[in-house]
Amino acid sequence: MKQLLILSGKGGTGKTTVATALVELSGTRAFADCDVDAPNLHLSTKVCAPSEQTDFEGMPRAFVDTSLCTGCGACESRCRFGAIRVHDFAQSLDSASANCALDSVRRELARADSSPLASGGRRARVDRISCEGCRVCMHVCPEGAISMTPEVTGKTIVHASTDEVFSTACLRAGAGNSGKLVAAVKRNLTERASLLNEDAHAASPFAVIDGSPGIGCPVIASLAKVDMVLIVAEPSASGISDVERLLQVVGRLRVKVALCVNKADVDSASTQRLLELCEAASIPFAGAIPYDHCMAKNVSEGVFTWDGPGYEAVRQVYECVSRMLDDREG
Amino acid sequence: MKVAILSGKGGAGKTFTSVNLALSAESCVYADCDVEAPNGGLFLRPETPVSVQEVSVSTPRFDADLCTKCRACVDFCAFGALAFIGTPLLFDEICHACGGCMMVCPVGAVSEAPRGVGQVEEYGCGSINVIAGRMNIGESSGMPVIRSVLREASRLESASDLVILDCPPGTACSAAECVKSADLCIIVAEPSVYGAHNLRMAHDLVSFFGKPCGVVLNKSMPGENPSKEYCLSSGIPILADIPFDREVAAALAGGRPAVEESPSLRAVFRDLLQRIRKELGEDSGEYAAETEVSAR
Repeated sequence: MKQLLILSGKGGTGKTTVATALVELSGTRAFADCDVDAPNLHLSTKVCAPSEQTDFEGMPRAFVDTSLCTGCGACESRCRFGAIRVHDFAQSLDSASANCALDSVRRELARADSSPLASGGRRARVDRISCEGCRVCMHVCPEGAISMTPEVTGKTIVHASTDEVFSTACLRAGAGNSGKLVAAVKRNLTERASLLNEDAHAASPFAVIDGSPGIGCPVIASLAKVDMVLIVAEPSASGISDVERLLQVVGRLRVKVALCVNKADVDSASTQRLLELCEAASIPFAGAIPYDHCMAKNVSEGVFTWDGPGYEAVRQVYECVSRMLDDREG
Repeated sequence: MKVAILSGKGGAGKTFTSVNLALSAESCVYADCDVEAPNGGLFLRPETPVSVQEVSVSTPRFDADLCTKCRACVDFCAFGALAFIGTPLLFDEICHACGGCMMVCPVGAVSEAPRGVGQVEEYGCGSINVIAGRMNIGESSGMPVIRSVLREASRLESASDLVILDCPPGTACSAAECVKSADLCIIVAEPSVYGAHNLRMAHDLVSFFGKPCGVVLNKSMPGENPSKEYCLSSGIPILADIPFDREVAAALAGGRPAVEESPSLRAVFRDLLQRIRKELGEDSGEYAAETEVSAR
């Protein structure tokens, strides 16, 4: 099944609103939400299939066995991420209550109650939020006190039956590796879409994938193997600047790209500027969606009236996208 | 004091709030930490020469003459950034610059060279010190640039009583890095189902670090506001409630800060600043510090 990815650069331009409308208009039975640290597509789409949740493990993180650690600091001096520090136990507990930045240390200390807290002394402690899992500390520790332990950093959620598939995920607050989680979302989508029955396949011209804002790792991960990118742009100074950056990222790949402008009438000068940008980059302009508060509100609540200027414009965007995805040459 | 402005959901009004708050303060530091999509500089334009600091990470280089093809580096790399094709081959964008390969090479064939991943700009705009990070196109992680911005912000903190951190969207590591260094977090929330859901996620993030927080309700409309309901039910203070206004949206679109156009918003942000100081429980001593700075 072909894949359509929706991106924007700037956040809040209307990716999820447009994605929801495209799911509805196309009748597709396969869709996914790759915005794993602020997922919303599940709020506005309907699926009947029950959800299966699976813990997602990011990179294993360093873990210090405090009974072996001598507090020599070899790890601290080699860590490039400031993620392992030698603390004076009694002291760090006191300062933790005074200084919120040490809260993760405090949590860790509270969890590892088997460690010799009472006896005090200097020991290494890992900030599991900052740790990137490189294993340098484990390698340099002369006492073999550091091991790598798995870390659940989120969960993947799949609603799938032979009739439909919706793949999404939720990253734990503050966790890294969102690119890996995005890849898992896409893997689940592809695997489960291949198990759809004939009717569901026939009803699904393409899979709709809601993307993340920005241009970093989740966006790059979501771009893998997609057939087309639809950019939902906002007509504003910020929106234009972010689209320019996004186009540079997408331009490096051999993928079809179209752009639509959402809330186009809020600033027609900026909309014009976006049109020119499309022209200069030879990118098809998929349509201008006027500001339509009712549509945005309805769509976010999963209500479709298909009446009003917003809906009409989204329909044009859908037709443009369908044509481009059908076109083998493009 | 550092105030992080975050939102979970993109487009809720982080930059809007940060920029207008900065313009309402007597003097402050504005730090744009949204390095993937930096926009604060579109509103706070340079009025003094811009100093640009390159941000680089140390990435490994392999001396083919010294390399004995033992593959220790490739085996060590936890990120899969190294392949072995006759000689170690590095995928720059995947490398986390941990230094592990250089550390394990038994013959010293690995050295490190800086690789630029972004820039941090610094300039003055009125009484605001602007620090703006920008990640290079094609990089996957903005963290090195964010850390540089936060370092600069901390450096300037002593000279200014207010540092505003305009955070990236979402609730992942990049937003967490900013929250971690803040004294107070302000979550900007839209009055939609999406907005309320991401508000909850952002609140979880802030709570995880045990930071005090408040909410700015943005683009409010008559009728239901799921974000407001969440604030009321979970007891988060609402620091400001900014009504939706197409004029404001148009000003924003044109790159014009709203407080310069709307007297009512000027009042809103002046009040917000007061609320922030109250939330932080500042005493009069801190106000004296502000006067001192503005006289600078």
